[in-house]
Amino acid sequence: MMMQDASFYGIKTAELAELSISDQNSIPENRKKIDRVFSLFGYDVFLSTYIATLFSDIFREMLLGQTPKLKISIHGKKEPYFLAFSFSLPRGSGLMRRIKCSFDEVKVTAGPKANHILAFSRLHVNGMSGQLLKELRKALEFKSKEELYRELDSTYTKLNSSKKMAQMEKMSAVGTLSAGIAHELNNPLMGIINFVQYCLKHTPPEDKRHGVLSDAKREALRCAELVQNMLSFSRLEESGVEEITIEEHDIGPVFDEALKLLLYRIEKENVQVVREKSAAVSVAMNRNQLKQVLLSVTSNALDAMRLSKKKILTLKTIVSGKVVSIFIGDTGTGISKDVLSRIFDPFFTTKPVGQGTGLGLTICQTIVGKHAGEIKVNSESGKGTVFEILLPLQGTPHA
Amino acid sequence: MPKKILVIDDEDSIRKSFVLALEDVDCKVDTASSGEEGVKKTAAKYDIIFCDLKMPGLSGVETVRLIRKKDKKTPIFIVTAFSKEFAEGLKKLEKDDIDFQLLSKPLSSDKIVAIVEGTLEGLASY
Repeated sequence: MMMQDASFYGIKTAELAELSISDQNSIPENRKKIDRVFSLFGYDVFLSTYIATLFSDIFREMLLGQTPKLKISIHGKKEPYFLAFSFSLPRGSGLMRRIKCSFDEVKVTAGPKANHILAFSRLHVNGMSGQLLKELRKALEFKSKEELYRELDSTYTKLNSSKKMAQMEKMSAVGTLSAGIAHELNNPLMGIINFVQYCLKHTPPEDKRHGVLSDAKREALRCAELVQNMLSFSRLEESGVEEITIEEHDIGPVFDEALKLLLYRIEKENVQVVREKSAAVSVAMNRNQLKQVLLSVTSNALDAMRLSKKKILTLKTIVSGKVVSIFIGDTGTGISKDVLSRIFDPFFTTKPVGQGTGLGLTICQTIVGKHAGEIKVNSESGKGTVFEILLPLQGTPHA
Repeated sequence: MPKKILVIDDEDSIRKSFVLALEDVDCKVDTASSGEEGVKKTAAKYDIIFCDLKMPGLSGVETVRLIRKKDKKTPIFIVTAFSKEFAEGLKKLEKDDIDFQLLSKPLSSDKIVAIVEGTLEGLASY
């Protein structure tokens, strides 16, 4: 395709970049402009047809008297490129669902009358020359380019990281709080445990009070366990990654050790273990901490299958690119959507009173985070759950 | 002769815990409710010393440092729930070659007894 100057598009830069709609009368004209943009894209760039038709709807629904502005820009320095659309939409227009379906990423900032929407759609560049791309960028420019890219870059990054940030902040706050409470509880708790133990020792077993004291001791020990969990959690929060020993280890043997600790349960509960063979994968890790993660997640998987007829624990390790994924799957009860969003929250548990402190997965997430990794969950109610632990690979996998 | 144990802790319930656990196995337990008091008491000879880490006034780190100036031998256990504010101090103690061991709270009476008996046996075997 021959490149000419920007007027080739038949649209002035400013027009293309900022389509202002002051009233409904201007809609057909705007529509035309947009159609032209998209037909131009059509030669070399394939936008989802959804989006093309969506825009006519958006404009139709725009409120009279408002001056919603549509801004289009190209985002990204290399493939995949993203087209970013920034516009306002009256609240309650019913289009939000379609917008969310049509774009790859949608960020909505709620206002009193209208929601401001920043949406990203993947640009399918098909043999597009660098020159054309450059021209397109130029054509779409409405602020200083750097300013726009910076803005979009940060928005896009924020889109991905805001959720993580919120979680991290929560963790850190809880870490501090836990440490405070745990320290304060530790001393009186130690007193209680020992006083009870003393009385227990000096009460004959046939005395009725012996049983009561045993109960008191058991409950106090439960508190102690919770306090210990809170402390190990806050310790994780406090310690930087540089404070823990990180060494290269093969995942396989670490997994073996974790499984060994659960062997009794696996056999007793008749769980079938399907372990897919994989090449040795070396990861920089703190061995004990990673073992704790594998133990915790696997033990949760066993918990989930306690009442299932089919009890299959599936374990596999897959290397893709510079990341290794450890999958731990069960055929248990599954996790419902509303629970799924909270499973990493501190002190959140669905287990019966006394069986879970609600810190297991929180600690796992913190540990994996310290290893520059990530935990993902996929679950279907009634069918089971798969946890995926992603860790960055240091060396290349060796067979 | 009953073994003599010194427990330095600002918390009454902790001191009592040690007393109850150890008097049951025929140890003689002395207590001090502050680092300062603890240091004074070490003018007498003890077989084992337990010292809390977080105390008003002299901290466990400072108390152990002062005790070790005169007494290089008695086994000293610093009892703590992990606390970051003392991590540096503890590292410094180690660096200065001051001998101590760390115990984490909560300690059950069984554990207290096991530690005392184990330590005394270890000493006897030398």
